[in-house]
Amino acid sequence: MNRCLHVVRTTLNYPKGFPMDDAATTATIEADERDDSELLEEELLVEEVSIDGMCGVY
Amino acid sequence: MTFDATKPYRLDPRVALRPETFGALAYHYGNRRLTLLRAPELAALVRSVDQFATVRDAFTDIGISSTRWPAFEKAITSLERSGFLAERDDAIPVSRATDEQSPTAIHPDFPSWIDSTLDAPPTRGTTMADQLKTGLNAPICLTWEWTYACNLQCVHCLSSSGTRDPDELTTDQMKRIVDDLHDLGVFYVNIGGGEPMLRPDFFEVVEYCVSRGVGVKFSTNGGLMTAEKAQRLASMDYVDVQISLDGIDEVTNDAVRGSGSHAKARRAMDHLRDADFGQFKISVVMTRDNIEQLDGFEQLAEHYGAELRLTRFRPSGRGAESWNALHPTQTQQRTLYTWLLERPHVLTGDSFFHLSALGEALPGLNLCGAGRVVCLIDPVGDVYACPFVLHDDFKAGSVRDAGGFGEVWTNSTLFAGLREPQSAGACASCGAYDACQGGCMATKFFTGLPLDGPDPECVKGFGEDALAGTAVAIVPVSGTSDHSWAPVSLGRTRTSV
Repeated sequence: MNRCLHVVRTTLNYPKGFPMDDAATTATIEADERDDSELLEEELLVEEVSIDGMCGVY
Repeated sequence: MTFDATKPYRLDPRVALRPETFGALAYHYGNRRLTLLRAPELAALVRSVDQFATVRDAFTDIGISSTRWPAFEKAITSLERSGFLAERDDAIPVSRATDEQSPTAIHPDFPSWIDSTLDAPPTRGTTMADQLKTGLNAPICLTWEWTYACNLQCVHCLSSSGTRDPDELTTDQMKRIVDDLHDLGVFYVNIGGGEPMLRPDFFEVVEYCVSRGVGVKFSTNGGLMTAEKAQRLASMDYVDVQISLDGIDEVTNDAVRGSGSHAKARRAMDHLRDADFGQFKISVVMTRDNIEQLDGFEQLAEHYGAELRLTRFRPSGRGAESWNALHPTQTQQRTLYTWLLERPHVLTGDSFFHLSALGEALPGLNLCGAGRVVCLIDPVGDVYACPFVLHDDFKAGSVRDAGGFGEVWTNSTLFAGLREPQSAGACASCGAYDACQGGCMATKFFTGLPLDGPDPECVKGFGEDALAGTAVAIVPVSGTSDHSWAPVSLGRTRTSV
């Protein structure tokens, strides 16, 4: 059995203070010593992005 | 607030949905939040949740297997927390806009699109950034400059504005563009110029945007804002206003924006406050001369109950001439980064993603969105990859071409290239590349640096090294449309322009 440290899912580099939901906070999960065959992928179905203030005008 | 899948839910009536290949984009006109729904089934669920007695019923009807229910329940919890979904009181009828002109009416292509994409590949293993880099069905952020005419001659003007161009779009042409944007599901447009309020049809086109379900955020120097106009703006839904101010005091501001411009901007803010407009934005371009005034800008915003929006100075347009004198020093960049980290409520709109190489990422997409999630339409209808690269090399087409804006956005060769994987080039070996993505394309281009090299303001200092070895310090403005009505120079002391 190949036992190792798996990163189940790595997604975004959320900054500190950025509003994060449960899905986001669990997006990166280190599954210690789990068998490859038991590896479960979590779906990150919702991601909120900060765009207010995004525009190209001075 | 605890999500319960056995209860009925509804979509907030202020939310608009737009189909995308990965699922959908949801934009909340009330709290200005944008959310990616990263599965077609979730998009279908959010769209139709009003119709089911419980969320579980919706899961079953859409065909979501029970093994995936926990992930979907987490997603709905998140959407409820962000205000997109809410538990439904069946005693209160669901009230959604049925008029297709409404910004929050369900996109007309939704039913057929959902049916055809339910078998789309799952999103596992891909990041949001990966998905956005390959492009969207329409821009997230579309900047539209309405005129080159301007009552000011700012030394950093991105579009070198001043005089009206005789080929500027007519009112009817602009309305046809609005129709195209509505059909594409564009949530809102960022209107700039020049000074957009100089157009005699300004209110006519703004009101047409809103009537066609396209939200409006416009920037003004405030010089033409009157009490009456502020009241008219305050009476309109889906309109945001941004007042430009580049110094907390007259000396600092007017050196960049021209004599009397500080007083005009403050008077416009007073008018908006007196008209109960609500939370307008104060927009500041960060320069070497005003970074020390950050606290003052914050206090001014608090004084008006406004939001503070900071943006990065680029060497574009007339900014090429003032770049060397005005762009922040390395020390100032670190000051700004620390200040922003402590104030996540200050809006930057992804402007300073190159600073993320200093450590924690700042809020935003943290990628160059040119041709992927942003673009610009100029006053004559030409479409550019981003608002900071008004240059022939980055012109993707024209809204006057067959197929209009949609054709340019979807099929331009330039945009297709920008949506391909980009080389990290000289930055590939830098440990900070994942954070800064090599910085801003426009800033590199106009300082003569290769697009796959470091940003000239690279916080690791590689940009300065690269500039030292570059023969061309600033790209000449040939290929750029200059509408300045007089030579402009930075007035470090108060000068008229």
